[in-house]
Amino acid sequence: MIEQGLFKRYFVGRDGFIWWIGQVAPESSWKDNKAGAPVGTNSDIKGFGERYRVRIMGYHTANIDEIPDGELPWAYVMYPVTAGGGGRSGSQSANISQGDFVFGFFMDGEDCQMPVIMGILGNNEYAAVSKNITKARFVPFSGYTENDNVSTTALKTEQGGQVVEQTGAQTTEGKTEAQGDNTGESNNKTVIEAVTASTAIKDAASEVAAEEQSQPIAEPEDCEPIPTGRIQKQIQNVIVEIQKLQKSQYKYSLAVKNNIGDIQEEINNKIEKAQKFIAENMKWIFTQIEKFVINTVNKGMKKTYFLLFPNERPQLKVAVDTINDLIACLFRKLIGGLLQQMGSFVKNAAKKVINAAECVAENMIGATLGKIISQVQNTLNQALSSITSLVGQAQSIVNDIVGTITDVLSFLSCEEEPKCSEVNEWNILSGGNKLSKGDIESIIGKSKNFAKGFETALENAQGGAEGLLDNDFSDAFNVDGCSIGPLLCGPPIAEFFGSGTDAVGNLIIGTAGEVLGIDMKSFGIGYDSEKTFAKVKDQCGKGKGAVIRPIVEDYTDDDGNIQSGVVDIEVVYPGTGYLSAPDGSKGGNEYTWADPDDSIVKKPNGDYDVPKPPGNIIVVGPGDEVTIPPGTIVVTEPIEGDQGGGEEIIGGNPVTVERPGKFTSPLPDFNRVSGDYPSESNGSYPVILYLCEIFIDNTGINYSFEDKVVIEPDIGAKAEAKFDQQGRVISVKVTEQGEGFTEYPRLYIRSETGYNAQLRPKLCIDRVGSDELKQPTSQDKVVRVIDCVGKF
Amino acid sequence: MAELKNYHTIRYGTAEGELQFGHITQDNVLSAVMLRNGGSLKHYITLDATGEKHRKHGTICRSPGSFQVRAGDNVDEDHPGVYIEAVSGDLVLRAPSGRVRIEGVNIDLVASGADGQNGVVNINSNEKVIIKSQTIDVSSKVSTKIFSEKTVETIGRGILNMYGGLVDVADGATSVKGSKGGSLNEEQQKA
Repeated sequence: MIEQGLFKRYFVGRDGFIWWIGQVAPESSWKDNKAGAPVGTNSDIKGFGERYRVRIMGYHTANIDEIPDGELPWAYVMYPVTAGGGGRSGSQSANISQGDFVFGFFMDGEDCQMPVIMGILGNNEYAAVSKNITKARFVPFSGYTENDNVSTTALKTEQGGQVVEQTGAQTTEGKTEAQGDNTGESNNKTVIEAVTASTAIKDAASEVAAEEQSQPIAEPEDCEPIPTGRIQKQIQNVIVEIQKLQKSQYKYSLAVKNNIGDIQEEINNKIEKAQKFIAENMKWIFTQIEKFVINTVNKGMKKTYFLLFPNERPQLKVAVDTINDLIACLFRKLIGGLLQQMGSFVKNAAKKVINAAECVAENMIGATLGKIISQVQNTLNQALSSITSLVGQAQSIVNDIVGTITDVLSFLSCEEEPKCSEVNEWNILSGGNKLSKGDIESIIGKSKNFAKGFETALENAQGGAEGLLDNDFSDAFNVDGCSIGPLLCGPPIAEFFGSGTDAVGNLIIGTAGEVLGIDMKSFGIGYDSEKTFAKVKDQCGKGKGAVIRPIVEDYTDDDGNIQSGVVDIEVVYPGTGYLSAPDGSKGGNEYTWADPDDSIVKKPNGDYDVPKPPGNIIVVGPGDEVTIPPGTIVVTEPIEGDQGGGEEIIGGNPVTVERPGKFTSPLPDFNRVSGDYPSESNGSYPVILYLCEIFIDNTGINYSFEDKVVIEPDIGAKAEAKFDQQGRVISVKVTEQGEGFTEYPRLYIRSETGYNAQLRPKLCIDRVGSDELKQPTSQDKVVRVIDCVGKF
Repeated sequence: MAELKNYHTIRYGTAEGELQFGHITQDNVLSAVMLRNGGSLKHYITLDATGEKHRKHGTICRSPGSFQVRAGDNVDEDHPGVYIEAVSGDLVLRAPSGRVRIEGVNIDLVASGADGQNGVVNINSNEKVIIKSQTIDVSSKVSTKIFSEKTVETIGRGILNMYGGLVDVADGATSVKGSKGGSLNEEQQKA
């Protein structure tokens, strides 16, 4: 002390500059230094603002029994010059949490009582960070307290990962004696928080944000007499939501995005919401039919009016009024039962439908309308009897009316009004689409078929007509030609909408899962370049981000007629993650319902169980159709009471079990050598891609004439750009097309002066004959294209 | 090249919220700026830089809670207090589970189309359209029709005046026998 008193100058820097590294103590030891919420005056703030207790290496022990957290020195915070110090309202807050490793210096030199924090040594994703505060210090532990909710932006969507345990300390175990076994489990090794909160790890919030469902946009009824597309979309949406909830019981990545305790209650909520939406749309159809029925009846009855003398007509008027009221009353009751009916439909659909194709909605509408037809006929037969008694000769007219009602749906075949929107489905992420208008002829046919099954006695519409629409929709899910089961996930398809019909093609998918181009199989007819749009639709939602635009041009068809069709596409963004060939997963509705290693059980009544990942016990009954992953074999075990079991199930194809039993869903060995699937014989064909055109998305500025176009990878392709006087790119000509692009090339202009030109390649295709494929030099230039046309 | 990448992403944040610059979204779009709530899975504002036409240089505001705009305290009368314009494309207001409420001192609903197909105000309801006012004027340049499949009632509790340069009335009976004079209404009844 004498020495210090003699030589210490009490000026920062003049007594030496002593660095330190330490760890911010648990926040319970310093949080009261802050107010925590706005207070009236500074007397309500216990401490002096941004101060933290810090355990400093070399000065403090890791053992909290020797130096408790509350006895550590307070450290002030030094801010960068960009942060401000509070003057003129210029300030930033420190962003320091418990467990952070910080470094700084002592303002009081060797007295070491006034540490200042200058910076933080951030975590990295491999650091072993304990979830809870460790008993020993100088071990990384989480900035979250046990009371805190972890940010959804820091919750990882995949379990697992590697960590690097702390090493290099004094003991052979890599920890100090004080730390010993008191360091706790590292959290990021198994699940939860991404310890750096950086954008490098996929997080729950980002994934949820990318899963927005498309929503139907209502149109005037003249544009959409039967809202089949809207109903289909709502069925799709609710089915996918329910599937996600159900699968979250078996899959962490879904559970982390659905923090729901009572899944069944949530499913019921979804069903309730969906049934309301579907009932609303069905009501539109009912009111249209009501209009038609009243119109038909009144037109028919007009033929009787002249048969009565004027003094008898008031009586007739009353009768006509009554009939009209009866019809209105019938429909009021039918509409009243709609909500319940749609609930029954959605509940069934959630179990039976994996891919909600258009025909599902058509079948439901057909089944519902089929029942209406017979009920309306029965009601009219009763109601019109009052006219028959009033006007003796009217029976034939009544028969005519009732007969005409069987054509109740034909009026819906009317042409749509010319000025209807081309877009009636919207997704805030992927944008617009055109919902299907439904095949009205098909619906009419189905409703007539269903009507035959509804020949039941009708209660008087004036009396209690509960159950008028009793319909379990079991038939609606069992219609030939309507595939509602899971689809095999494969390459995406190109959808063209807005104008024209029948353009189809196979998208070409590159090695990185990107869209490279398209092989048009049919250009279609009637397309308008201003009103035609294109989308990449992935049936299983695996790929994301591809943006394509149709190229509409005139062409001469096989009959020599000039047609306007989609002859090609521009790839604006190639996207990523698309499958170039099936990977064994299954799904539909742009959602992957079952992963390749899942086991699937379909019940005899058509209900699907939730696909089970490997390691789950599956109980099966007689008639269940079981599909386990290819390459696996299980033998069922007896269930309780020693019943059944002993059946062998070979993976890859559905097997119908005959006896009750149970088994553990098997884990397939994906390392085994698999065949080339699909081979040329089952739907794929090879193509070679070359660079045929370069689009200019942004002309840029200030380029000079000697600047060169760079193509990465070029595969032998070359291009030259032309510039105007301001150095803007005005054209890019492909001088050599190259051959064998298997990934989407990156294009830019190498320049000493220019900025911001954006170029985009267009790849064109050559089909390759099988002979050429045999040449080894050609093999690595080939992209295999799956012929999807007509398969989905 | 297909998968977008950005090696210069910047993040500022806490457990409660964050601001990111240049991150790649899970659907492979470059988000120039994103502001989001750490306590919610669907609460963010993003300014996107790539993607479909609407998405590139578009803004998405997403919130499970309500989205509220209250503005215009200092704005003069007849000046917009809140101005929303779709420069091209449609303006879509949806409330699939609720009401669309519009309230104002006066409400102008103007459809101005350039040709014979546009300039249409479409009001469709699958239950009832109710119009109540002290005075209701329905005026058209060419024709006005009130039509119902079932019943049309015109009631003037005090006085009902019906005027016409020439008046033509026909009922259902004329559809078969016809009247002496004949008229457009009669022809329509026969149709």
